[in-house]
Amino acid sequence: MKIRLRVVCVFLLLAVTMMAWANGSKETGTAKSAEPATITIWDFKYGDVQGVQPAMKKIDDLIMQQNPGIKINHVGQPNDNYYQLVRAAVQAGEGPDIVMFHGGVQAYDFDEYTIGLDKYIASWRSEISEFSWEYCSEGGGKNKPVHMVPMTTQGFGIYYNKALFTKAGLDPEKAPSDIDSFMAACEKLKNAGIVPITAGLQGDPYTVDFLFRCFVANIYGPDVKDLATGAQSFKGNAAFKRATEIMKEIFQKGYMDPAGTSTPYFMDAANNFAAGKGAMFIGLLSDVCHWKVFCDALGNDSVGYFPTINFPEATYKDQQVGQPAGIGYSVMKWSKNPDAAMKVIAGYARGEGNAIWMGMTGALSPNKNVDIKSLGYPLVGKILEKPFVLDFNTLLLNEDANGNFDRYCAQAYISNEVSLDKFIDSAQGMLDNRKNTK
Amino acid sequence: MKSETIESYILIAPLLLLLIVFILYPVIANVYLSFFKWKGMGQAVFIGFDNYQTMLKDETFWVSIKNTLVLLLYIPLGVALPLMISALLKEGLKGWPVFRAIIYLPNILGYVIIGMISSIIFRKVGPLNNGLTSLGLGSLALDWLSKPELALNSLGLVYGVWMRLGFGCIFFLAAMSSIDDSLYDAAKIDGALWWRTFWNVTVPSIRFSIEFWIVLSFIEILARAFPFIYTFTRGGPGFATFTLEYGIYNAGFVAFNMGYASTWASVLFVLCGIIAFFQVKLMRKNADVQ
Repeated sequence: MKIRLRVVCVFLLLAVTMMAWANGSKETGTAKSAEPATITIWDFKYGDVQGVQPAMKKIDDLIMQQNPGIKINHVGQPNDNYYQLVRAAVQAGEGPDIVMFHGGVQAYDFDEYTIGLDKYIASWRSEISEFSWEYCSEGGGKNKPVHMVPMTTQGFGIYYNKALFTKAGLDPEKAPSDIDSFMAACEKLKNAGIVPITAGLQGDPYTVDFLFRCFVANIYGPDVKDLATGAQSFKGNAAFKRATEIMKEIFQKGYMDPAGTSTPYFMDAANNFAAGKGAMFIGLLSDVCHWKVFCDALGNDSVGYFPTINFPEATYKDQQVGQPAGIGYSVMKWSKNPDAAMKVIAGYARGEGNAIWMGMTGALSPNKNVDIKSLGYPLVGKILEKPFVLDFNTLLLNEDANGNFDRYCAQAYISNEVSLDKFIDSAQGMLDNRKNTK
Repeated sequence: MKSETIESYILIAPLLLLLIVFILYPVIANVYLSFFKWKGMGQAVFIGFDNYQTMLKDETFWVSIKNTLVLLLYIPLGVALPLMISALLKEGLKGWPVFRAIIYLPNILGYVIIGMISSIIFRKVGPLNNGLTSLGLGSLALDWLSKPELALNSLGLVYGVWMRLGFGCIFFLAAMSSIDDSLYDAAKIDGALWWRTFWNVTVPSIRFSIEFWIVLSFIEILARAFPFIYTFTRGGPGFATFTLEYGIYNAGFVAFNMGYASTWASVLFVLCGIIAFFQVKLMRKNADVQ
């Protein structure tokens, strides 16, 4: 009898605790109308305490100053399980007002849960190119509602250390952008005891991955989108085959950093290049491992850049590979203050806030009104002079884009377990996956 | 029903509830989900056996099965080594407390930390190769994590053997402490040497503990290796250390194809079930014999 009584007491106590907890949660969720609208932002960049957070804090303060009725609650979420957290919020039907997404397929997954932004951006749509807006539209479709405001344009290119070029007897003002001059430069650098290409190949061999994206830009140019429809392909394309061979030659001739397989790309390899431990680096154009980091470390006059390596088999030349939106912000459907949320996003994407964003973090803003000269980095002006062609990786499914391509690169170039033909088959398989997915 | 029986049910109810919520329900839900296409949010779409058909055609699935089976081959070594060390230690070893602390260290640190530390140790330009080179064994300094076979075997050795060595020794030492000393005395009188004593006295006496350790080893390799692999090799290079468990993570939390991940998880569940069935049967049989 005593035991039964105790069990009943425990259950009662549990029930009372849960009711009190639920009631407390309800109260905190209720906002009084006189209070400013609190806009909660989730992103995976805010956790970068040194690089990004100070800029975001400054922009948040600026937005709150310009909009006294808005209070920003900026929450940095872990990078590794970010999309799991967002999915959990979607399943629960509640969460932040604004969510940061990577551009492309990762954002398209959430189209159903984010609001169309066309009416909010109508007055300033022209500030950002249609190349970016189209990519941020529902499913990436033309003339579809915009669901995300792009915060960065991402891309890939080759940075080089002019001082090390001079040391090796190369002309630092002449970028080795065709295959013969590139290979000759690598040879000279190697003979001078300088690592020709600072590589990050441990785990995911991003150096190989990113260089391939640069090659593909030259092979398909503006027709790269046809890879998704099957009008273009990797398999059977002589230029793509040649690109795989060039990559092999680069490895076989010892132009990649011999310690590369022990070096993660993020951020060790980038830090090595910034420390002058190698002559060239296949880098990003925005977010991290970019022009600002390298110019700050090596000096504005010591960093050169070229977008790709030209080779005769490729149809196009000097194509700069880019993603129309590296990252961006969307407003979730459950937000009670979408107007205020859009004011916050506009504060990031335009005007003074956008200038702070680009100037402090080295992000490549897609907003055309940013005064590039005032940033004090001539190199970024040179990068932005060149038009972008779409990165083929943005056409892939999540799984292929997020890791499988790197695994194929590792098999072909790091562990040498598959032939180049098998690598091409695997790469073609990714395109077929995309094509066959409804 | 007797009031005593009702009370018993009330008392075990919390534990039963936990088992139903955290074990039985996830297993059933997983199998159910494997017949759907679901992105981890929104509406799931019923697709019948499509996920199973895709899985059987998926080259990665067969690679992961192969890799998992290779890792299972390390179980005999993972059992024999701590068993032998325990048998040696049982007879007394100078400085044993220090040695015990050293071999038990991996159990204190946890999978993620050991995975990260091991990934640094095994780098081409890393402490292991530097050590080998400085000892004049430069020819043994290999690119451990960049060659497929080496990476998989490094994983087997570190995760399947070394990491569990300390706990294995403690476990077997505890089991050996219950062996009646008179058995050893009798063996000594009969003139049995160390190996004979070990094989004919020690091993049969702790047979149940060894079998239990084997069961634990299977569980560790089949269903608990993910955090270590994630930090050690991330399933690479390529798919060289990609296991069934890693594939579940990849399909579920990289591709967000939860239905497909559930299909892989169902296979892993069946595989574990088959192994557990035979092991339990074997253990019961041995118990009956004893």
